[in-house]
Amino acid sequence: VNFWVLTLLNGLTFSMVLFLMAAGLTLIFGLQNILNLAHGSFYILGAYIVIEVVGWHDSYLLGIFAAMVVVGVLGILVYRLLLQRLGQNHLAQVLLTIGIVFIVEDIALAVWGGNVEVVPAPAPFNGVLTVGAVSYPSYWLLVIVVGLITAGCLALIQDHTRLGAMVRAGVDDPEMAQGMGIPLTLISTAVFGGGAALAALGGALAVPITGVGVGTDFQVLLFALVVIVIGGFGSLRGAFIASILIGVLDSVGRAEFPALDLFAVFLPMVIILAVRPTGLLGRK
Amino acid sequence: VSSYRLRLTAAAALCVVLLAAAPTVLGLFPISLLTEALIYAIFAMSLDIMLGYAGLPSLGHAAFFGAAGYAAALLAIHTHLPLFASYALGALAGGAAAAIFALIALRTRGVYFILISLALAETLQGLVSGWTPVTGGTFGMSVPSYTINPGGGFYEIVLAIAVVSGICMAVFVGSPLGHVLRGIRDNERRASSLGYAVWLYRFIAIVVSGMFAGVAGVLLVMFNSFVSPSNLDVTVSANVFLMVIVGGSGTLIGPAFGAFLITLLQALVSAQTDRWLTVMGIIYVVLALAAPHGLFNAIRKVPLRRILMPLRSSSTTSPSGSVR
Repeated sequence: VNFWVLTLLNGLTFSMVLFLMAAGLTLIFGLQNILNLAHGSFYILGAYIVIEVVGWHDSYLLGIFAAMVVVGVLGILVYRLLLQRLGQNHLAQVLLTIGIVFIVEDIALAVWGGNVEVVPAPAPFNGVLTVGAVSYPSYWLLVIVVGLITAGCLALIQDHTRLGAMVRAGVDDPEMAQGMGIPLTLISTAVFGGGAALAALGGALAVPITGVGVGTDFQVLLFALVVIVIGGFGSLRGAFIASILIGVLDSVGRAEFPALDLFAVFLPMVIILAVRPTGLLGRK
Repeated sequence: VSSYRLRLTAAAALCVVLLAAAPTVLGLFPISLLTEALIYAIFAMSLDIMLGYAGLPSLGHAAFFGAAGYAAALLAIHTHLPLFASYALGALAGGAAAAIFALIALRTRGVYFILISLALAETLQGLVSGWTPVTGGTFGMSVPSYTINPGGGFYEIVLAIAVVSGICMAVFVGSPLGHVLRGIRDNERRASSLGYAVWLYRFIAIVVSGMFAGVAGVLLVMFNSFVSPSNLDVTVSANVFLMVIVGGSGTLIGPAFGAFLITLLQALVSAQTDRWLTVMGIIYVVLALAAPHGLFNAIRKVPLRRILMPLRSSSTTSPSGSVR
């Protein structure tokens, strides 16, 4: 029982990081039909910025804040200056965003080197929490809580604000939404920046747990892509459900058959796509 | 159009002649680089059948490439078949892998197809690197080399196979079947209402594409005398995808050109600077903005005749007598 509780908690921690990655990716795809393979670069930039800020100033909170702001602005620039020019040309989008992945990866290699970088968990959360027979690092629980709060906030914004309504309208039918006077370009810019900031938050939160190194960007991107495919493009709820599914499956896979751990994640995606080609909650 | 095609064929033939003459002038290293470029050219053209002609963007093409490589390696190591037969069967295994892949992936379209192809390739890589007793796991396997004296011979074989494969693929996409594929790519609903079995045509395209990817995969294994899970890596898939997009999808010649360009550029830039990845990244970004439909299509659109037309000839076309 103990083992399964721990495996489940590990999975949920990973799920929350995945959800933060996938949220922006799925919304921007739903809104503008843009396949952004550079989303993993936003994630590692977030992680590296936290490492830098903690190194200078020893403030983890400030680091997270800086990561989200810097990467958010960077996301807006990438969208407005580059991606927007390509229209709906998916192949050119792949070319451009892989180009960005290469550049960011190489800069990271030049600045931070090829080793996996980790920061210790911040002060009040660097201990272990014991409930009954189960002990668990409190920082991991904190990540789960932050992830759930963020997901809750996103759901609130999506369902109960004007902005959320406009985003939903844009995902449902971009042309019609634009025809009704919804400033789709502005909203997409905001969503792209926000999505990049959330990816940075994901990276920033994960760095005390998994660290960040060469190839981390592609690894998280793959998982996030699997999540949005299973959840259905443009669906935040789908992304949330899929994140939990994939996070837990991955954790079980790692614990039970470590050699085939990727297999445990990609097989469900293949099965779900074969049965339901538009993902769990996707409509398009 | 036919004169255009004639000139294209002539240009391709000229390139082949130049490549055939290359060993007489170039040293061992440039030739091994060209060998690699030729292998990737076959690989990129095979992807173009799916991506450019059938409209099926696969970001998991390394699956067929690697599956064929592993099949050839396993046959060469464990059976008493002549080495040549193992390699030929290996290439066919690429087609077989593609058939299985198609059964699953053809349920999806567009971006979903990109992602499921990626996932299938990852799954295969996971299997191969996990199944250590058979595949050697992450360490890979050494393969008995096809006994030719190093440096000489192999390049010519690869060139010959590349030319034959290129011609076969050109015939395939130029055949009525290829035309139907393009029709399906442009308007699936119309093609199916005209009575074409859309699924079957796509299936055939994927299997043919997988077979030629297999040819390239086997050649790479022969070239390296080694096969490992890195042959199945997403970076391989992404690289060949970029070759096709950079060159221009839907043209066959474009992707072959893209394969040469990227292979040689990578070697050149990485010899000059440690930051070659940044340089490549910048090149990709610029290309995406400047030539979103590929270099070949961009060059084709340049009105060469207008630019190179001598100035005097344009004055003669002005209505005579008007000057007087």
